Amino acid sequence: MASDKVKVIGPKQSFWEVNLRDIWEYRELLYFLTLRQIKTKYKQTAIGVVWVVLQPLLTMAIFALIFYRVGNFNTGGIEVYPFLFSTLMLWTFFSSALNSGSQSLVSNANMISKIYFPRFLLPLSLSIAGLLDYVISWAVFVVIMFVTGEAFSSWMVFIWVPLALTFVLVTGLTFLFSAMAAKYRDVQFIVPFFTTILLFASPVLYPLTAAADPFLRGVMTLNPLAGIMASQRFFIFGQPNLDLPVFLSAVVVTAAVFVVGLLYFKRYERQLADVI
Amino acid sequence: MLPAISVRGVSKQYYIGTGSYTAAGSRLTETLTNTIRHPILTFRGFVGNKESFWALQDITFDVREGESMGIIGRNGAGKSTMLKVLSQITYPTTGEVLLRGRVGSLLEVGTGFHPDLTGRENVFLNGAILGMTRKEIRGKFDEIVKFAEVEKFLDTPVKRYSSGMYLRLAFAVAAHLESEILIADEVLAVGDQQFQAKCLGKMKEVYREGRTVIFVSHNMHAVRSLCESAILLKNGRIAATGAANDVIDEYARSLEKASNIFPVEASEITVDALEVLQNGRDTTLIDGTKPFDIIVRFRLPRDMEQLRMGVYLNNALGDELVRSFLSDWDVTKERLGAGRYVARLNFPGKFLVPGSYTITMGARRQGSIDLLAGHRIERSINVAAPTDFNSGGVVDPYQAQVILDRKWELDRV
Repeated sequence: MASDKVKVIGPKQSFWEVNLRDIWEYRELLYFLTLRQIKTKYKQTAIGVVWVVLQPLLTMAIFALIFYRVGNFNTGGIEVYPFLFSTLMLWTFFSSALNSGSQSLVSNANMISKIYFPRFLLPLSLSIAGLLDYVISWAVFVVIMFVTGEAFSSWMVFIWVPLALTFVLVTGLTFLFSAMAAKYRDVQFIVPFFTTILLFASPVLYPLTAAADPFLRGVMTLNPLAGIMASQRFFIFGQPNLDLPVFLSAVVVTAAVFVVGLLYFKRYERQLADVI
Repeated sequence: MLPAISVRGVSKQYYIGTGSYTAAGSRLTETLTNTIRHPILTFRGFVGNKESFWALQDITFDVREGESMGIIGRNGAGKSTMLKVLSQITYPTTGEVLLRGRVGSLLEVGTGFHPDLTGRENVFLNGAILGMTRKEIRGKFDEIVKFAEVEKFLDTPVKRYSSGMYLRLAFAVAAHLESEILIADEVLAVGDQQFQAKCLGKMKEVYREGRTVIFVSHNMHAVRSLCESAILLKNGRIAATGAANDVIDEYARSLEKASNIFPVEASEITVDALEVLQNGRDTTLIDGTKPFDIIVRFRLPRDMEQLRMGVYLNNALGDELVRSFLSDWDVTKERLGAGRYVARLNFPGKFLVPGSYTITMGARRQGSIDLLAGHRIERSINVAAPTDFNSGGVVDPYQAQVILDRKWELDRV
């Protein structure tokens, strides 16, 4: 009975065979880790899950006031509040998954040094747990749409595309950052800074059309969030028209980031218990 | 038949200092400067990791299916590293380990427990971390809860648990792990004595079920009663291997050599030896049935007044069980002339409960200075249970600090 499965622990291990089998074998652990994150995130807070929608709502209110009363961005005829909230809810998912995911290995250092499990489950479970927050903010978004009298476009059937891209992007980034953070604690200072820069370097609070000059346009083409955010708006409101080069570039860059993150993670995964 | 566990020439190297294996994580700047200074060498791993040591060197052994093996050795001998390699937490630098069967490893109880989650939620989470499926956990749930004795608090967050309840629940989950190979660290070193006995009983059960067990412990009695065979690690190498009893004896002998360096010379007293004798030989392993002698050999350069000298005996938890001085029953022994002495205390058998104890020597002048200030003279002993003592077993273990060598008289009236 005992000899039907042999596990070999050696200095080197081949890259592909392990991963796919592990995901399947440890699917229940992934489920419980995700559940743990969801259940504990807002424990012992007074208003609990309200924080999920309060964060983007407050950001929306502030920027509606600053950018669109004082400055004057062209939303292309879309009401300011749904215009901002549509991308802010996706951004909130991205930034909170990025920050918690990057810390996921360091904050579970004890688990890593005490038991074997595929380490990538930790950052992955946080990305998945973040999806619930996103779904909840959709309820609020629908209310905002209704109140402001905006209508959903028929492109809505593709609304999962920007979400899927964001998910893949943020998971790739957390693979990269969490493994780096295990070795270099510097990462915990870099990530929040990186997030702030990214917020202003992406068309979350302004339309993609605002970045018109060649340099900014170059930035937008390289920054996958530009295409993601622009497509999010396009699929919801049906306008402004989707900038196809920027969007396709977002797909390519997202895939590249994910692969790089995964490779880096795999390279250091086996050292984690020794360095963390 | 193929062995359940084969360890083949396993070595594990760690880097000390600024290399990639620094315990607390290293700084980016170091890697960056190294990379800039010696780009090619860094890439090939020649720079940055200067000092290294081998936590394990060329370890080879087999464990049969259904065998239980203990791994013993002093702190830093490589026991934990060996366990981590076997548990796939860290990987060997060279060599390999072959595991045939499903492996459960318990380096700690309650790994992944979240204080904000309820007992029920943590059972499922912890079970999943240990490798159980949801179905398995559900099937064992009632048993786990009953073993842990926390029925009433299942829906309370575990942060409100007493530490005892927390440990019981954590161990209960681990104990119901049904792996073919079980790798366990000193999980028994937790909880009160009653619970430890319960844990030990559960471990024995696991072993009797015919599963393969690897067990690491400092508690020689636990190893003796759980394991058929053992390996002794010393500085990362196998120093002895064979039947558990023989290896433990070998370990005990190596410990004796490693204790205090005598003579210990203080200003007003020189201690030449602190010996523990049973059956005529100096030993650290005491048979709890028979008495043993504690012997102090010392010299006094000058006459001494008001001498308060003797030994303290502390249990593993640090409780002082006995303080016995030369002058306890004889005040004339407070005054000793200069010279060489041998003090002998006959310690009764059937008195100490099984476990580890520390015998520490003390010497002071009454109401005055500690004559041994700056020196610590101590011996560790391990006491085995008296063979004829009926402890009540796992179900109802003794909880007291000492046992009484007295029988009850019972008359039917």
